[in-house]
Amino acid sequence: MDLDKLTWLLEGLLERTPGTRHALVLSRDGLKLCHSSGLRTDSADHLAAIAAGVQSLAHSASVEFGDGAGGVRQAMAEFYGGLLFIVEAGHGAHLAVITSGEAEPGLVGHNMNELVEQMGEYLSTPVRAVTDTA
Amino acid sequence: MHSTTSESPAPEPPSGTGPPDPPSSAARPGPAPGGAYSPLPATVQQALKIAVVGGFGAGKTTLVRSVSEIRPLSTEETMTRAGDGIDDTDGVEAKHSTTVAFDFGRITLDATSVLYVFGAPGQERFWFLWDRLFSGALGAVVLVDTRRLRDSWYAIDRLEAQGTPFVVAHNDFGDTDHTLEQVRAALDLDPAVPLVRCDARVRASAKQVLIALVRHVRSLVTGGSR
Repeated sequence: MDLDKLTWLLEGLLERTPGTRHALVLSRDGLKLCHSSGLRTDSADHLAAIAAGVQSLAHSASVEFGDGAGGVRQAMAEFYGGLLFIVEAGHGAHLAVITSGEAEPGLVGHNMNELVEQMGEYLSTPVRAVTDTA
Repeated sequence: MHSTTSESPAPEPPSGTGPPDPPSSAARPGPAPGGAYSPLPATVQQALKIAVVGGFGAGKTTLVRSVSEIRPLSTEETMTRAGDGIDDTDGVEAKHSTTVAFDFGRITLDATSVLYVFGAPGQERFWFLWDRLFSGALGAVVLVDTRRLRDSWYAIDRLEAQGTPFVVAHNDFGDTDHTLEQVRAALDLDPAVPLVRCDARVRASAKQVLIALVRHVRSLVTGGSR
């Protein structure tokens, strides 16, 4: 996996989407894979854990209340001073974006999904082999 | 945190004549026919929140699943390569998924009391969630795996520091022959904290842990008399 290329793509997303502040790619079990340069390491670790939890809860909501098609298309949280968007990005990975309060949610979602398609093959996080101990 | 009266009401008895049966006899919880849901009796007056904590891989998710009478909410995700070197599976090599938010289940104790059980995520990166899980909790269960005892120190320290009543449950994976006294000594556990052994996979055994906690909390409230 080419993390430099991924990071470069994330920076591009921030550049062309007004109001976005940070972008991060995480594994489904809550670990950061790469992120935009403005995000401090500690914040990146925290955001990765948060986003994995949110996506997992959103998935439970889709199982309970969705139409059975499965999967979470997007999770969003709006708070004072900003928004958090999370979309699935390849097998076993998610893309999270933090914006300021001025961002246009429709555009952010659109650009994130566009990026996911672009970077699809880079984004998968292989499942850990059961016998593979670190 | 939960208002029990607004939860799914007990279904009306089918008979159209006479006064309705008291719900306590009509809607006792138990294994629901479909296996998924069982109604909450309308007589429930007490909703008690319990947190299940402990180290990574101690069996928290398993315990919540075992005791829950409703389909448990679980947020397990497959462990990925990104966790190599971070999520240490020494001693629990067969583990391939991990909780990333929390587990949730419900168990009705008797006609008036229901327990809401929240299982915490084990890894350090999710510890920030624990505050919310503990808020409003009556008490906590610390689940320990004797192969990875030190993983439970953080949970015990934190509960002691914040003064939340708790019991410790030794989840017996069948490959240890430590006595409870040895476990107590290894954990340097306060003699007043109950320590029990359980098999988190077995509903009856997991339920006994919760009962031990409720008794412990009750004894604290009533001043030592069980």
